[in-house]
Amino acid sequence: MKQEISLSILSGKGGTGKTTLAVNMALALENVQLLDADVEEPNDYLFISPEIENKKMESVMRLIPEVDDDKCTACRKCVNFCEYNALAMMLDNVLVFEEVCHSCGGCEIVCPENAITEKEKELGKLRHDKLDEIDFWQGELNTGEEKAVPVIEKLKTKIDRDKKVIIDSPPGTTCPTIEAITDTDFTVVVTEPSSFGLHDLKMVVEMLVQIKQPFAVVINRAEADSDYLIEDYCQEEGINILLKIPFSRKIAELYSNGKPFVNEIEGWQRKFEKLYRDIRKEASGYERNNSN
Amino acid sequence: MKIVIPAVEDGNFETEIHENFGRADYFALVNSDNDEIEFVKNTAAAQSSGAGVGAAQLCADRGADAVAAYHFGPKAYKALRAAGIEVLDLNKQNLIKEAYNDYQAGKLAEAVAGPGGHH
Repeated sequence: MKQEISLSILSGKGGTGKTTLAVNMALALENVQLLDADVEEPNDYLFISPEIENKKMESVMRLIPEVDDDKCTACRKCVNFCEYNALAMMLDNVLVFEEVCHSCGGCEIVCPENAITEKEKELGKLRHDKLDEIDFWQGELNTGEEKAVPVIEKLKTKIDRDKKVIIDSPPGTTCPTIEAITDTDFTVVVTEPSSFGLHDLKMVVEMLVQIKQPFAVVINRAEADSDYLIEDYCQEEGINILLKIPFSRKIAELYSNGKPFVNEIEGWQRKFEKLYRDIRKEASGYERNNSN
Repeated sequence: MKIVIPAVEDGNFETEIHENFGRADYFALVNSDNDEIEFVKNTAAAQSSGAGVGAAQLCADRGADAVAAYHFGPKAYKALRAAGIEVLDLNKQNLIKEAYNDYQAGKLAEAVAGPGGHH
């Protein structure tokens, strides 16, 4: 068994409790690296490093084409090549739509006049803070940008496998989510006991099965009279439920004041330590099953 | 003058206007010099990204002078304006002929770019 593992925390929709779980678990453990990969709206920093904007920053760049109108003969080869309609030919001028450009560089290659060069543009940022037990990294997509994946790729280059790695993933089932969870040893899916929670959980499970990612469930806002919604489904599908975080006014109030409940309510540190041990056990069991 | 109006199908002046510009199935091209109407399939509609840009390209390539629709995304709007095409707003019109008649009567106002598609 590996000493430490990496885990990704995921949910079908926003507002389910990913941040709650990621932050509280990170604070309960030693030698942790927390990476906030929910780059469209990272918010772990509110609980971990509220002053993150003043900490160390790195730009994440991408390449977009720039057209030299003097060299361009309006042959349209670049416009015809671009699958994403990032280029258009209007009145014999090439128009570049940076938001939809996938930075593939193909237009530069097909241009017979060498009229296209690529220039760098900032797509997003990484921010970093170092606490006693938490090495904290945050990915951030700039406003107006649509491509989250390159920011998450760059964020993942910071992973330190000697630490317990916790990645707070973007919610949902799209490319940024898959990028964030790929290569992690285990995924924890956070859900809530409601019809919406169940619906979005099913979507996520379908995706995780497809990419053969080992996972288990944590129920947030758990309530005795509605947990069956999630429990019945998980039992049918053979999915483990590792932890329940209760629906509690105290936890909600602490959250709204930016206070992680693990530091405030007795007993939770041990529960999160146990959660990590359980996940490590599950992850290594999966590894054994798949190395046969 | 040539005016383009998004349409739900290949038809005639009685055909319904499509609710979108970039993702419209067909475009009605009306020549106001002789009131002739022609339909072209919007090949950009099926593309995964930048449908509005592709649709604007099609309008420019067909020599459109004006385009009238209920809604333009920001990229389509920018592309059409760069081509020197007049971008006009529709609201209560339902059929191609209603949009065309209002265009002829000078009743259509300049459009503003709205929010684009979501991916």
